[in-house]
Amino acid sequence: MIQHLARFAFILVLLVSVAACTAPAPAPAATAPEQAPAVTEKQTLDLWFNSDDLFNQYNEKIIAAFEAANPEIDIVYSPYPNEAYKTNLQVAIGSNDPPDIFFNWSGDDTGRFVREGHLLDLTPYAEQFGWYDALSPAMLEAFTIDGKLYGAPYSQEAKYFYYHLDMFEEMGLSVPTNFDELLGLCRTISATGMPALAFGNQERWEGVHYLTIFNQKMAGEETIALDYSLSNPADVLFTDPGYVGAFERLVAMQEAGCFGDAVNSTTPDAALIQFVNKVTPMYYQGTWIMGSLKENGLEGKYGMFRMPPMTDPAAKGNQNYVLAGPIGLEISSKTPYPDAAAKFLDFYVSQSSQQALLQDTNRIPVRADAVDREAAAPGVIAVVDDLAVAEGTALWLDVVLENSISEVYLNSIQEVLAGAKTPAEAVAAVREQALKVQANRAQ
Amino acid sequence: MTDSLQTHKPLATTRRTRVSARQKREWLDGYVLVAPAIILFVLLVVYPMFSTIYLSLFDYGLTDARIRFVGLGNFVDLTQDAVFWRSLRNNLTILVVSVIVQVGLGLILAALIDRGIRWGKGLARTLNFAPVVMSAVAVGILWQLIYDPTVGLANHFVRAIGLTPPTQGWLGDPNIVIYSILVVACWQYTGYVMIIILAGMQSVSQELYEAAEIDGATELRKFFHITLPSIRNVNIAVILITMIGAIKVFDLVYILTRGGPANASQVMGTYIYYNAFTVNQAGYASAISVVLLVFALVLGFLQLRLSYRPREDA
Amino acid sequence: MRLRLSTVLVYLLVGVYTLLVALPIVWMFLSSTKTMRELFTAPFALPSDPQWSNFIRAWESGISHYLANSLLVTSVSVILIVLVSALAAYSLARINFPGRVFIYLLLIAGFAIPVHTVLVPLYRTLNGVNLINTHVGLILPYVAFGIPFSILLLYAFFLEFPAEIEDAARIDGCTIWQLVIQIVMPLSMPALVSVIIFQAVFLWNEFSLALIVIRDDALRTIPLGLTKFQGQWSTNWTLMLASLSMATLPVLLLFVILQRHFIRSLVGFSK
Repeated sequence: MIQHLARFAFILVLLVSVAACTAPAPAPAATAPEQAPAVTEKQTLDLWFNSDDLFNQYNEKIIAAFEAANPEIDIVYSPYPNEAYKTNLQVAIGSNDPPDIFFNWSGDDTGRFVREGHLLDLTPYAEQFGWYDALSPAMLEAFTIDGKLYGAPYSQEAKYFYYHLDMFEEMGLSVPTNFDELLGLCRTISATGMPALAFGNQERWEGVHYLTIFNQKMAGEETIALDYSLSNPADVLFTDPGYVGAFERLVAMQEAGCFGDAVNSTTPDAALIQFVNKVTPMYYQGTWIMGSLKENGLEGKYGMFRMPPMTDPAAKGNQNYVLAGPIGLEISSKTPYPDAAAKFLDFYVSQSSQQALLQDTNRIPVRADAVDREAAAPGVIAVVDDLAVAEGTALWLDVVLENSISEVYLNSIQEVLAGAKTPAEAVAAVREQALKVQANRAQ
Repeated sequence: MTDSLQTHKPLATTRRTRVSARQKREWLDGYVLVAPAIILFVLLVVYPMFSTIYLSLFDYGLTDARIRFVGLGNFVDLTQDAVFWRSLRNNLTILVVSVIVQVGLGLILAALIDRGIRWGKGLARTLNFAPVVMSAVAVGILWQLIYDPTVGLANHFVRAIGLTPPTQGWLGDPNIVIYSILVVACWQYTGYVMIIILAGMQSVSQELYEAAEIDGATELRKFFHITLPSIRNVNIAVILITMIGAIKVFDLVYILTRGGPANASQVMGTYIYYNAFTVNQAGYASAISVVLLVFALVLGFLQLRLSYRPREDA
Repeated sequence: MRLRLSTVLVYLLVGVYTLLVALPIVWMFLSSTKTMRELFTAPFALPSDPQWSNFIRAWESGISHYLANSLLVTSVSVILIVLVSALAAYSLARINFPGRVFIYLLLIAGFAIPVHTVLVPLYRTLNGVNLINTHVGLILPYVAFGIPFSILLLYAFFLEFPAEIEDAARIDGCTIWQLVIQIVMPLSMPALVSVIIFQAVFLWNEFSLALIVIRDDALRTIPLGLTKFQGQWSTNWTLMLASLSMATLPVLLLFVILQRHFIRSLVGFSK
């Protein structure tokens, strides 16, 4: 009989643990104060990253070095592929068990988390560790909201056209100095039977990069700042003709033969492979691919140039802008070990880590003392120099915009590329969603 | 075991009259045995179901503290949401095509295997059923490679028979993407439908066929006059199962396209997930869930009605 | 055997169709041990120099612990489903207590509820009791959603269970628990096996719930783990296909070995 009672008790225990579900306001999970754990107890920190195989190697190296120097801290590293990252993070951040430290973009991706109270204010740590002296002020500024710092930037990412030097030479091509020349370049290349550019828009973010820089160039930085933050009044929100013009430039590129056929079902990885294998002579992509280019033996064999300026009078923006934005690490406000987490951030942006970042991954560091002009890859130096002369940066549209508006943008670009929507219809859809969000915020 | 006692308890019949102490103890046993199932089920299925209906009346997000009563506002928004209508239409397209192709093809194949071939019956059954036991995730990823717009097998295959593959890619063209997904769904589940029908066919009495043969009936005639009428119930069951599967579809679409390009392959399941977990509109997602729930409950009720009927065959 | 044109045609039709169905799976296994180059140049040839390193790399990149997690989650869930459902089904089929019919219909009706319609409240509830990102948080809903169909099947079986055995056991002084667990269940193996196979295949492949409950890579089940590779190795097809092969092989092998049981169990759904 006893054993049957025990069996039933086991089931009951299981069920009681479920029954707690009905409690409306569950006790907060992360009540453990920082001083609670004994000195001998390991402080475990969950670290989430948006990264690929190559970057994982770098991260694992840094984590190992950090753990060796701080034996009381244990970092549990979880890398995610790019596409899954944003959704996973968004869901996790609102749960009772968010990661302690995580990768994030600046812009509204950070802004929203701040509004919802998910992020730890890093200002005291920044002062304590001297980040304000060591890291690029512009990068820090991107993670600062209402005077408080919410992220430690560790790299600047920027978007460039990459081209194979040997292919350009064979075909007698030269770097375009304005947008019309770029279209001409596409026509010349596509006449030979190959698409001019690799373009993988299946995950939708490659397309939005074109629109990001086109919006800035056409509608101008003042207008987009007011529209993206939804501070323009409802009657002018997203009504600037530059937005339609931006879509029209994308269509112009498509018509000039810049892109191949199945862009909406080509993954960014597949596009990279096409460029690496010289299926296309050019690729418009972020600086994060320079590590892969090196791995594929292309170091020194490619050239780079920015999205060239628009010369037509309709273009109202400053034409000396670069499409770029910093990425950084943030800390959850629910972490039981904020000090340990901040310590890791400081290690991650230290001079030695940043030098390794540049050496191992060809990424652009955020501290000047990490850039060794002799040792660095020529492409990285070119970007560092180019960023220095740029008069401003346009931040990725999909991280700047409120999530649901960004979704409309991402989808509309796919539809315009598929010929299912006109530029005017696409902008109308964006405006409609923007008005909806603006009205909601007013309530 | 001792000898069986011939004192049959009348089973599953209503017994009233006075309730004895022994009977009360038996009742208690009954409740205790059923309790674990009831508790789990109510907490994790029934309560969430009503919770979904309740949440559908709110503007609510999973990752922030926002919760605002909007009455039927979410449902009003649904009626004006082109993507919702598209997802509903996609579910219905999948439903209609699946029933026609899977049940139609399954029926033909089952008939051919049942009456037409002698060797390799087992092999045909094994191979056709194999995709059924694979996960939709594995199937989806496998077909994503097959559908690759530059080097995929599908392109090779289509070129080999002298046609041109779609220029925007099998999963990149908003106009054909849902049919590309359907090919995969039919590839995976036609074998399932076929096996169920085959099982039904094998219980059709051989004597009926023999009698018909004496009358000189053709195979086609036997199919329409003996086979089909005999497996009528099986066919209805299979059609309902296929319909329920089509309404519930999620994994395959999520893996193949995430509902894209530009929502062209969105179905209710993926649109619920998208709203709840991508754009943080959990209240709106709950409203779509209610619509899906209505469809599922109606179809499920029909299926239960059918299976609840006492049947004499095994 | 008369060899008629129609017979040949029937074989041809069935054969060609079956071949088409088998082709993707064959291609998956063939390609998993090839080099990328061979994969594209000779898609249906046997690998000239089998690259077992693909399997080793996939195994070490996570497949090993995804398989272990799936094994754990599936087996615990299935055991609980069988236990809970058998107890309930026995009670409903054999004990004539008030409210029996209502309870039966309530439990059975649940099988029509798609899990996608309750993702949001389930997520809320599990998060509320800190079961998000735990295997228990996955197992509990798996059991709950497995109950209706299992009861449906077992109830029908228990209805026909011979009363003589029951009565004899009662006279021997068995408690109701001993009766169900030690006597009725062992004698109901065919029905239990059907339930076990059906639930095991379903849970082994389950994705939607795992997608919202599990986040840590170390806790992922096979389907969820595969989505990581989908992002990571989208251009490394041989590794991708090696992972798919390893993820699919256990269930395909079991299916081939236990084919009759599989078909009876999965087809039982239609009844």
